Amino acid sequence: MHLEIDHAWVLLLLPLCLVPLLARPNATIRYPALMLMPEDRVSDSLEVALRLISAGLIASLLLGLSGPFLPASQVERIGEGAQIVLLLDRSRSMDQPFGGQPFDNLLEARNFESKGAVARRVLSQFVAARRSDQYALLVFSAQPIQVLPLTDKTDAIQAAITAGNVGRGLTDTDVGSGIIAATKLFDEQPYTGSRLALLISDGGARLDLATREHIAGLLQRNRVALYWIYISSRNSPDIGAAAARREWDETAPARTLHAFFNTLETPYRMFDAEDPDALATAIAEVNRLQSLPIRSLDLVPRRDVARLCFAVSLALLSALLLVELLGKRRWAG
Amino acid sequence: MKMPRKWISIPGGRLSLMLLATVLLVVSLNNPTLSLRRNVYDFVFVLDITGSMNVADAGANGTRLRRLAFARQLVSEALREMPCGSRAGLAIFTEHRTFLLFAPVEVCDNYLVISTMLDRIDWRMTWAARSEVAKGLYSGIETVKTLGSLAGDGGARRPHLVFMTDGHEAPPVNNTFRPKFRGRPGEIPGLIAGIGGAVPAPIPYLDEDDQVIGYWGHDDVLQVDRYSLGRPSTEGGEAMVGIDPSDVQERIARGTEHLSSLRENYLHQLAADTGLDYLPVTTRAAFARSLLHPRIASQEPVLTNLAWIPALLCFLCLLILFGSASLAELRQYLGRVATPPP
Repeated sequence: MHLEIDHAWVLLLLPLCLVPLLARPNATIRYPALMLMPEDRVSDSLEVALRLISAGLIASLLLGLSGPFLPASQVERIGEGAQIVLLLDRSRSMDQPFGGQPFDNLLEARNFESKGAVARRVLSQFVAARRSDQYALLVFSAQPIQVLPLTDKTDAIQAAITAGNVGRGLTDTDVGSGIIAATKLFDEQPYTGSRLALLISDGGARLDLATREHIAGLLQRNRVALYWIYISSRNSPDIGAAAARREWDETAPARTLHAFFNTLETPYRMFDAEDPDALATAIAEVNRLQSLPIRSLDLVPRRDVARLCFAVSLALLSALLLVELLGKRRWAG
Repeated sequence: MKMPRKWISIPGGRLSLMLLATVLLVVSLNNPTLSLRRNVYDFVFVLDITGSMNVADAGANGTRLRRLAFARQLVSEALREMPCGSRAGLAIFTEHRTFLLFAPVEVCDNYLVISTMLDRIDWRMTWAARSEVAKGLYSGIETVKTLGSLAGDGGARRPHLVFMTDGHEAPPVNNTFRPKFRGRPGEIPGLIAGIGGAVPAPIPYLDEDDQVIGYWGHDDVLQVDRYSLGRPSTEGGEAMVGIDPSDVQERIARGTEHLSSLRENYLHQLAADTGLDYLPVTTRAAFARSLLHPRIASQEPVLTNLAWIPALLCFLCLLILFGSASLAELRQYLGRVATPPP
């Protein structure tokens, strides 16, 4: 950390410090015979001290006026919370209406909230409720796209979620590669806090064996918990129920996926966005995850030091003022 | 005995001058501020990440940077130059659309996030190997428009679009049947930054580790537009209405679509259609200068610290205080020199 200066030319005036050193003694007091004046060491040294204080006063004022500052720098911050990778589905199907709303007429569909809008609203609330966490955001469709690095800047996270409201979804859903990319974000990162991949998706997938093993291995190796906020489509069968009936799996890939996640050895939870309490439950669940101090880099903005200089000036000036008030102006009454 | 109070050579006296200086310093320490208006900027940077942006012919003074890498440097430079309070969002263009990564956020507080994400923008983010520049540009304009309506502040600070591309359309477009711009020209302000060299260069073919493993050949790409190729579903070679098919084979043979250069004329045309400005990019500094033009800035009140004004007055007071004493000393000394003692 080093000091920098905005207006260095002001420091060219520093020789003005010499002015008080050259000045004649403050008060001239007429006295009949100088030779009769007793020598007073205390007064002499006070005189020197006053001149030095005056010089210091000029110097500190000039330094303050030159605009000194400590430049912006990166610091490591330690906070408490989880590291969460948000994995948001941006496939075209997320533009379809959300299932958890009553409807009378199929043709009214266009007025309904889309699954994507519901997903982003839930995410936004989640992030707003857990501000001390660090977030990264990945969207996925046919392939994952990272849109935000791991950060605790709430503005940026909300801005990345907002971006999801611009433009239509991309193409298909590839949940598998999405989860792999989300988990890989933790590769080569020190384990500094609980890790969570939060999947927000409407779709299931029938992942092949290699992908399933890859996902299970990665989650385990990087110690990442997986939460899935399921955004149901219209008329989609209930995801949790009847998991045992294999024939249903053909029509509900979400169940197949849920069943696979349930076999994971790492922590897994599913929340259905249709359930009004789902969000609160999910937030509470994350609270229960082990909370370790997380380390993060942050940029400390520049800090001006001028105020400090002026404070020093004020202290010196007060000393001068005190002496001035106490000082003798007349030798005798 | 009456004291001739010679030492008070300043009207009001030493004490009042010192008191005044003290008061001024106290005022200065209370951080007096004034609300001034300051120029701030709002940008959505769209980076073309299609294949042709991997050609290494960009950068100032003949440095051979990949076009995308140079585009990233340009945005990075602009970010550093943007005054605090400005906002920047990032987007990528590939296939036929602009894909917004995040909406504009304040640049100083979020500098680290924006620049980290900028560094991660990479050709491998693409989800389809097409480069329909015109459609991508139109969708960029649409993106900025949507952002304006989402912001809900009455469009007081609508972002400007900065679309950074080489203008290389793949597959090529037919000049007569170009994609139409359906918006109102000039409704969304912004500019197209043209990136790339003037000499057609081969487009590298990269592997997953970003290494060049070859170059696109003449037969690997579509050399003429789809209209000229005729209807794919009917008899081979059947021409579309308004297309003269006689020279198609010859045009294919002569085609240079596997080579890429900065298509300035085309970008000029797109800029004219959409009411954007076209900016040929030379250096980073020049880019930041053109971008941060007061004409496109919005005004935002900002608290300006005026602590230096009372501090300066205090300094002048002290200068008079000490200076007068020094001057008196000097005068006396000079007087002694001039008139020898009797």
